[in-house]
Amino acid sequence: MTDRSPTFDFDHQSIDFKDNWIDTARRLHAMDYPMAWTDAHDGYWVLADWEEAKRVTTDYENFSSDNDVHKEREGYRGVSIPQQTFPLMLSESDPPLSTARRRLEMPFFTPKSLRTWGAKAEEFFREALKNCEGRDEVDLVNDIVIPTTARTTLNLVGFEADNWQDAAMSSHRAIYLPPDHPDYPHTEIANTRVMFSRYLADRRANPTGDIISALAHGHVNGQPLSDPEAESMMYALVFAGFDTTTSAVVNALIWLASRPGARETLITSPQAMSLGIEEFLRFFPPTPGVGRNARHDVEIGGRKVRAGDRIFCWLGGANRDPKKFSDPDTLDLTRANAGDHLSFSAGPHRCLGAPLAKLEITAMLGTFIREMPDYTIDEDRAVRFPRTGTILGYSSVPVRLNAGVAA
Amino acid sequence: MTKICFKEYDGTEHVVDAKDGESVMRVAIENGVPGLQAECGGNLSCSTCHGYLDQKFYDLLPKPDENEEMLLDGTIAPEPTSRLTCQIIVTPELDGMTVRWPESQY
Repeated sequence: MTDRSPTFDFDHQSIDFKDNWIDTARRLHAMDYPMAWTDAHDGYWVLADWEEAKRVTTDYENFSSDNDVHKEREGYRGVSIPQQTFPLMLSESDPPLSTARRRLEMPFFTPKSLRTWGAKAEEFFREALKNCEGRDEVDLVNDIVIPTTARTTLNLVGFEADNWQDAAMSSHRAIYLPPDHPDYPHTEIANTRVMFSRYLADRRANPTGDIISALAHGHVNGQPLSDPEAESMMYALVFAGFDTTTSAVVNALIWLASRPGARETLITSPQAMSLGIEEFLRFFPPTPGVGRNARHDVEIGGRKVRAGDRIFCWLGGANRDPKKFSDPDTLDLTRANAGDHLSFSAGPHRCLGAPLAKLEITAMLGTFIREMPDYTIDEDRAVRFPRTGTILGYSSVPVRLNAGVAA
Repeated sequence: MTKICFKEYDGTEHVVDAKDGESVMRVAIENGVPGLQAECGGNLSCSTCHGYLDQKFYDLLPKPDENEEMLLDGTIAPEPTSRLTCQIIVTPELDGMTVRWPESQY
């Protein structure tokens, strides 16, 4: 129990959240101020005010991302709720340290470096579609989108193209299965870790100019990047790269399946596609939110936050702040300010891969709706992740690519 | 008011009133000026608000820091007077400045 107020029944890791998050957002926004305390996971504030959610994610001087598992610093609990026992060394640290780590990866995500990757994603996507030829029904997630996002991410990081299944499966299943589930990918995770250290050792000896080489030879504040730092950063790149982008594409294609008019709108021009993608990201945030730790006692919207309290910046809730987005529960592909969504978070930890994600989404959505105009999705048989506290995802979505033609 | 001119790649000019203290990127976005993406919202992590300045104004401003230099290297067509416009804060001295946008931010 707590003396923090007001309280609100909220747990982004619950089944109820998966089924009712949109309604929950509406109820939070109906309060005098969209921020309240929940007792779930040892207690945290949930914040859905767009303006303040953006400020709290950005203002690292007052709100820390540090995950101090071993209580060596201030004891902050990182950005995941519940706290991760295995800290992510980049996203769960603060500037200037996080900036020094991020700087090693940043050159790979600039417009110049990414120029080739939209085409690459499209090539992988076409290969995945080709592998589906001759089959009546395929799985949108596992046969088409995951192979594309996994290969694109892994190639950019520096893995060989044919080496992606273990990493993809470990990332994918670890997100939606609890560790005691019989299908939890323990073996694949172990294999992936072995692969990470093997690659790191190899690039130390033979640098190739990929991200792994940059990490293998990288320095942070004058010190060489340690193996745990490098492995944690590789792990984060891989994990952050698949299911997030996959979630965006799959949610969009499900929504578009019954709306041929909307598909026409998207393909009228690259600008229409780009704006539409922003709106999909606003409406279907791949990750619901990120946590921060208050460094001092502070007031937000009249709520009294104490030093050490965690604040869950509910990005998906902020995306539906009616003060920022009019009629927020309507998906409007021509919404002028859709790009102000917080689905990539904000501030010094804003998603490094955001431009890559948009290139991939553009390549996949564009190709798919142009070339598969008759696709149908059996929504009743689509399987959502049992929980969506980490990713708003599907584990399986049956799709018929040429339903109209075959019929 | 400080007046800033944004020039699209095709030569189209947009002269707008800029509030002192705002970033030049923010001024462009708020006035609906085409030619930039400003993907990351001014967090120095995307380099899609890249513009070219005239030498005179480039010299008036503090030099780009190490992070900005690195990101400028990653733009499609950097020039000696390239800047990320999210890093330029409007002051009265910038009255009359022209920012030219590149052919493409990506």
